[in-house]
Amino acid sequence: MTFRRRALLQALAASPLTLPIARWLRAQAAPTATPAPKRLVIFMQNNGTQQANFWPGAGSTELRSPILDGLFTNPSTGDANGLAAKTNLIKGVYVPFDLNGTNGNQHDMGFARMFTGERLLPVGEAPWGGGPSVDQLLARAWGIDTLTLAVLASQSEPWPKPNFDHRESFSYLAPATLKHPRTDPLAVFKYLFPGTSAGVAHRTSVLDAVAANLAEVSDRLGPAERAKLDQHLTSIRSVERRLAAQPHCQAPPRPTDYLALDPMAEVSEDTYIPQMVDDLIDLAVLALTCGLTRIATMQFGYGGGRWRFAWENVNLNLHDEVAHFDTSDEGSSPENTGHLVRANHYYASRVARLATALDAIPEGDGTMLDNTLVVWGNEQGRGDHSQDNIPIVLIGKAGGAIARGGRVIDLGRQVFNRLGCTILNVMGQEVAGFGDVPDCGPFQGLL
Amino acid sequence: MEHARSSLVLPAAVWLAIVVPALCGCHDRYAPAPPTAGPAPISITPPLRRLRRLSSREYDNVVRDLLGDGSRPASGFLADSYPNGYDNGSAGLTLQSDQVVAYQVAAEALAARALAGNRERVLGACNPADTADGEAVCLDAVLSSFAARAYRRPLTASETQRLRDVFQVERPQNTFDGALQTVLEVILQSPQFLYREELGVMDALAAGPGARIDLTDHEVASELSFLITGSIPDAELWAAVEQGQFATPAERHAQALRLLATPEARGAIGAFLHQWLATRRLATLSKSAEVYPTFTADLASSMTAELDGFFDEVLWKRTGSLRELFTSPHSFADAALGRLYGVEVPEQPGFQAVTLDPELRPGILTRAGFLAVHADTDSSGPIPRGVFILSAMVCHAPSPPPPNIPPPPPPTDTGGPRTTRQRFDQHVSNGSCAACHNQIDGIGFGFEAYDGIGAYRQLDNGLPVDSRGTVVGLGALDGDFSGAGELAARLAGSRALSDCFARQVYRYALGQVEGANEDIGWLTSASSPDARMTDLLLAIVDSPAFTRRSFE
Repeated sequence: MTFRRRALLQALAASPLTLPIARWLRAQAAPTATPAPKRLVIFMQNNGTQQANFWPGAGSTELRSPILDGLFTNPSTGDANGLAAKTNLIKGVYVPFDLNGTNGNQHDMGFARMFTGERLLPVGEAPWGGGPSVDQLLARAWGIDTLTLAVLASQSEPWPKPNFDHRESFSYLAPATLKHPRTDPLAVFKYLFPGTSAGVAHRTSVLDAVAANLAEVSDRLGPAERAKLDQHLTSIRSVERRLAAQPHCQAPPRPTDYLALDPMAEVSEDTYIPQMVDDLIDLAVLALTCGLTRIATMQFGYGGGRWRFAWENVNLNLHDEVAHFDTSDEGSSPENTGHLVRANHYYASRVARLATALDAIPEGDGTMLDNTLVVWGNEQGRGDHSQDNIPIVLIGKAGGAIARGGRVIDLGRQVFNRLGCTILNVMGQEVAGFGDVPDCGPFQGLL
Repeated sequence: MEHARSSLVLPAAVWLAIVVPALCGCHDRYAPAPPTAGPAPISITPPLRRLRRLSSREYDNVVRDLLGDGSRPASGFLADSYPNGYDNGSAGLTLQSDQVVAYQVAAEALAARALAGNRERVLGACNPADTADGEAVCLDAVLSSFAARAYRRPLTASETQRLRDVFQVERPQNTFDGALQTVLEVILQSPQFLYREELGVMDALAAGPGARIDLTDHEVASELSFLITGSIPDAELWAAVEQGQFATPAERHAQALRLLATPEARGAIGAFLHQWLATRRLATLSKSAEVYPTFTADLASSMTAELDGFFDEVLWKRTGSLRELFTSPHSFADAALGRLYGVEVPEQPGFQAVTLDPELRPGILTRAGFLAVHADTDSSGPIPRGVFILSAMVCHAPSPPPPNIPPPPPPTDTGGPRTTRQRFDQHVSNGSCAACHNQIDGIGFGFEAYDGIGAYRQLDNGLPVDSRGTVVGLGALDGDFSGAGELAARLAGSRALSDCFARQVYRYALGQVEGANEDIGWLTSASSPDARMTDLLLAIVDSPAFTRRSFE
């Protein structure tokens, strides 16, 4: 059953709904089906790392350090897990100080700029991201929807945090327009595995008619309004695609219903954070493996977050009571440094949870990880708001685009815009620059 | 996102001069205007407009009024973020696929329920089985009446045809109701339903930059009803528009006055106040169970209910002024709130009117719900209280804190116990902090007689409370005060508060933050300590900003 589908397609073809997706992104044909599509995963953390305990010693290809041991070793045996050989660490990445008239600070400069490449955008005076983030640019180029995940709950400062709407997500659909993360594992499960194909044709037909209405309304509007409806149409198309797609695998068991355990589980409880993080990561692995998406992002807390890390025996407000005291790369005190190492080791081990899972899935001549780029970013370099040496971790071969691993690439300071440029390039989108830097190129020394 | 708006105030003739030569290929855009009979000069530049998507609150109201469905399906929608500070903003609001699915699920359930239980809302009196061509007649009725209410305007020919096609494709394999249900699903997911266009006659877009575009009567009616009732035009307003009785300022003003007297207006204006005062956060507020064991979800909802009653009392039963809101001791309490306020309330469910101590509990600033929201989870929170009053009530937001703020000392350590005030005192003794914190803490310390859930106290951590404060850097408001009651009285009579309130109303009404150089004197002049707060809504309805927009 279709409602004049041909007429609709003609209407869409005639309507200038498709806007340029990025200043520096060249138009490109729809991706051709290949046996192993490329995939992108982004992890984003807040509050910086502990510099002396993050970077491995010079010359080592095993990339060991107190923090990175969480990424590169098997937690039960302590043995290397093989990820180091597929990993590159980029040293020297910085975010220039530029508040652009907003009332933000370094948290916002790192959080809202890292993956958008744009200057902060003042709305009122609040600091918002100035353009779409790289995950959303790529999603639009690929014509897919991202799986955007986060755990935002926080006992120290519950989410939503008043007047900090802009710190909900590092991912941006458009200037000042967040991609809202999903935070409830059960809701993600229901979204990914709705469980029935009944009504798919009906829903598709209804959405077709809605899309035709969108095209008609869009035709009478100015560019800013049209961009909104363009995004609406893209979303409808991605829902239609998901309705049409048969998952390549069986639905997993339902995750825990944390909201039933505690209505504040997504607001003010630290108790369930580790379980929710693990459930969301596992759902991301499934979504990628089952072909339900090719782009997944996972955010540990909101920008400038204040998890207490009781589950790592820290039990302090990490932002106020730990990170801010890390005033030198060597660390301010053994105790404070120890807390930071534990928190960051935790993040490393969660990245490993996903990366090792992908690396265990054979695909083509290698593993799924070989066709994926896993990025682990950070809003700061050091917790006292230093924006230098922000640790950037790139795992996976991105379908062969990144040939070598086991490296710390340290060629001096590199502007953060290179991260977005690198991601787009290795994912197959030829760009010379990213965000507000038109010609920075990918990270030097990587490719 | 917001764009800079022109603050130019030009007579209409100049605008014509800018526009007309552009149309005829002339490039001297700022040539003097020839004398011409254009629209009457107006005194303000109408703002730019943005498409506004129905907020969750509006969506629930609309399906209640359109379909008679009170199930509040939007409670399952994604939360939008609104840079204008209110839940009806126009910036951002792009739609992601999760929300497409949520609209889909809601539309399917709403359409099924409407045809099962509220058919007359959709079909009116039409019965498709009545005559041979009954189905065609009824479909026409749905498209010309129900769909128009849903879209807030008559459908275009192609919109009508599209819905007809949906019905005709569906009908051979389905019942009349089944096919009609599909039509309803399309309507409820369409942009014409989900977005408030309110952007004027489409052809006028050809006019080019600088043009002013008149909104249609249907659009102004929609804007008016969303502003005052948070929903679509009611039957009376709709009939007035259809009959051409909504074209003059006097007719619009009369409809606004009429709507202000409806129960829906109470709900919508109460929702605005809850947003301005941030007291809607009571719904998700949590407190340290150790420090505030009596603070439960039930107590938080009692606080919300008290404020609902208080707003109603102030707005509709008393003078409706800012002074009333900030000084009235009249309120409502159930047994739990009675204990918190120290007033006698019978131990039984329900609220009763109470008169609180006029010195300790005057007006909104000393209501438990307000104080609990503006506090820390485990203490009183002079900083959030000071920052909020500066930002939201006098529109004088302090700069954000610098990095590397050491946490305050604990309430008790080797130096003995400290009051909250003593813990934060270093703000004003430390030179770099003092610049802002003299202003913030000077206000916030005045609230120290109220703990983190709004209970009155004379001791903090076993030590006497000091609730003397001082206002600095705010002109006529400056000076020492003792306790929140004195501050409330000073604010209540101030121009700073009434001007800032006008800005808040603007942001709510227009769905966007006023431009940095935008002169909204036309609105602030309608605001004063003793004017009705709702008079500002009327001032907006009466202004050209409401019925026109500037082309971008």
